[in-house]
Amino acid sequence: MNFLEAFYISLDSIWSNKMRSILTMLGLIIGISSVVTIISLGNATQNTIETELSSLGVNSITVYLNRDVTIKPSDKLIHSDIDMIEENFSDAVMYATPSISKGGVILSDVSETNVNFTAATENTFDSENLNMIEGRFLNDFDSIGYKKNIVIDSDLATELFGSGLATGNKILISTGATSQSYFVVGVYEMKESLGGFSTATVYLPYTTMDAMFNMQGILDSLKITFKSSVEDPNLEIKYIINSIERKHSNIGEEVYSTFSAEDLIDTVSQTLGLVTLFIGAIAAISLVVGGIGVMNIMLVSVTERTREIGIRKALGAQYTDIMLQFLIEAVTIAILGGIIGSIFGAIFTSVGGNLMKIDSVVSGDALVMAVVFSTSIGIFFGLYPANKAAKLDPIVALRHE
Amino acid sequence: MLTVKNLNKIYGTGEISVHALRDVNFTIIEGEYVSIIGPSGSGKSTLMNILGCLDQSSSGEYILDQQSTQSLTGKELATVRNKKIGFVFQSYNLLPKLSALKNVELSMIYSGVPNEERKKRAKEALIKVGLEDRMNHKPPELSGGQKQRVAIARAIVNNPSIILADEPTGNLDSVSTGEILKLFDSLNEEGKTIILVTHETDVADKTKRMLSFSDGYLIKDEVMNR
Repeated sequence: MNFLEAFYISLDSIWSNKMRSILTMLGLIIGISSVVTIISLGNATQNTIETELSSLGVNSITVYLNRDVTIKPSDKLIHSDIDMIEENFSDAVMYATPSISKGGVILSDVSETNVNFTAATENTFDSENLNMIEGRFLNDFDSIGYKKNIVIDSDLATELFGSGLATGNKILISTGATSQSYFVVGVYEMKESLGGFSTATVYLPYTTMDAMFNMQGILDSLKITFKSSVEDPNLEIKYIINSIERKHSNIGEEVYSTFSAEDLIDTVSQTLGLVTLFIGAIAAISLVVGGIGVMNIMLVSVTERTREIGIRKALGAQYTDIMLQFLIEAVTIAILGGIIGSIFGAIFTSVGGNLMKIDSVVSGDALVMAVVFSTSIGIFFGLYPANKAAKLDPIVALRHE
Repeated sequence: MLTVKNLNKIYGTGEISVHALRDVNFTIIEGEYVSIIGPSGSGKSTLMNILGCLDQSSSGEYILDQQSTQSLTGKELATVRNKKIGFVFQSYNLLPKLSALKNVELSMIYSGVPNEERKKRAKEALIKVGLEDRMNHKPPELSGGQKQRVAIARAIVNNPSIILADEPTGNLDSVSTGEILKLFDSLNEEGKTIILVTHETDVADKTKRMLSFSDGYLIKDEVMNR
């Protein structure tokens, strides 16, 4: 008997026991659909987060002071470090930007708004991936001239000036004791932030800010943006750190730490991957339960069809014929369950993706895995019943009522 | 064509063993129409199982078409059943979910006859037993006599050396019994070898030779005058 004949016989048998076949498949449908959904949504979430994080600039590394060691005043990053880096590493570094951030308040007629004042150079626009919707960003002239110009975000602009233009208006900012009047030169687009609510960030020329807070050139941290031709920024940063250390005469004291968006992406990806795998593994247990369901029904089927097996054997069916017939039946049930489960998984994925507002694509890996898994389950859990059927003594089987 | 020599069958071992067949000897040649008769427990079912290669004897020899069956493996026995033996059972033993045609095709599926030819030969066999208008009916839609005719069609379709019928009329009324026996007659006239196991003498009377069994012994081997 060939494979196709065995397949037809199996289909016949599945079809003539529709209700039972569907119930048997149900376990696998639930198992496969949940595994497909979890893995697909997991991958989609991972992709979404990676994309959002890459917008922070994959090609940049932030250098800051290590909080675990004692910092001497001479260790602090100062503005001349930026000049040094841009000069000495011009092959690799596109630009370096200072990072200084201080809290303050914007005063209007009716309200006070807490904001973060952030120092900016012309390059901050690129390094922070900003989008202007009105006016211009700060430039070198603002810095050189210690101009009292300010760039605010779109939410703040709406809050302060309603739907009208913000550019060209003056605003009053307060940093404790004193308050000064600043000129709005531009409005940048507020990004959907991962964290949800956050304090508005406004940009001032770094020179202006330095003077305002009497910083004397000292920075919180600095952000180095590499040229895209640099293959491994993490290697390059070692040389840069080394030369910063030489400049501050603190070689080997590990005063400086670095952080790149890539580090964050790696960590987040790894964590999410583990969580997905873990939940997927739990869902996979339901597959095993489904497999046991298949075995159970196949055993019932073998008992019920003992006489049929006897008849087939009397007519010349061999061990392998009967074995194949029942094995194919089990595998067919399992694969059908796998296919239906995958379809449901795809539906759940797209519904879930819509609810979570992420781009969800049914993962090809998950589908391949679903089919491979259900086939293996069919074979594994079908083998025992099929062997039991094939081993039946024809005389005993024929006498079975 | 079929020889049984010193055939013994013992079930179980030791004290509780049952001696179902004792030193049975006979030969059946091609074209014979033989009945095996005896009360229940006489060993005729055991003999039927051995002749049908569903079982093997404990000792002695069973030679079918010059081939000793004593040393055959399960797989080889299955092949012998498939090619050389056509079974007709008391309870028909048709697969209830398959049409008459599909039922007749079964043994040919296991001997690897291609689909087209299988259909053709199954149809021919059903026409031969007079069921040309019932081919696509399933067994539950057929009368007892019709079911048994499907079973006979299934038994002859693979052109076996012997047709083994085990109480083929046991579940049938007298009219159907007459029809079935007539069908066996005509098959025998065509040259088919038929062995019919029964406990009814009226049925055995219709055959050409009668082997009588009692307590596992072959007690009488007589040629019938018809």
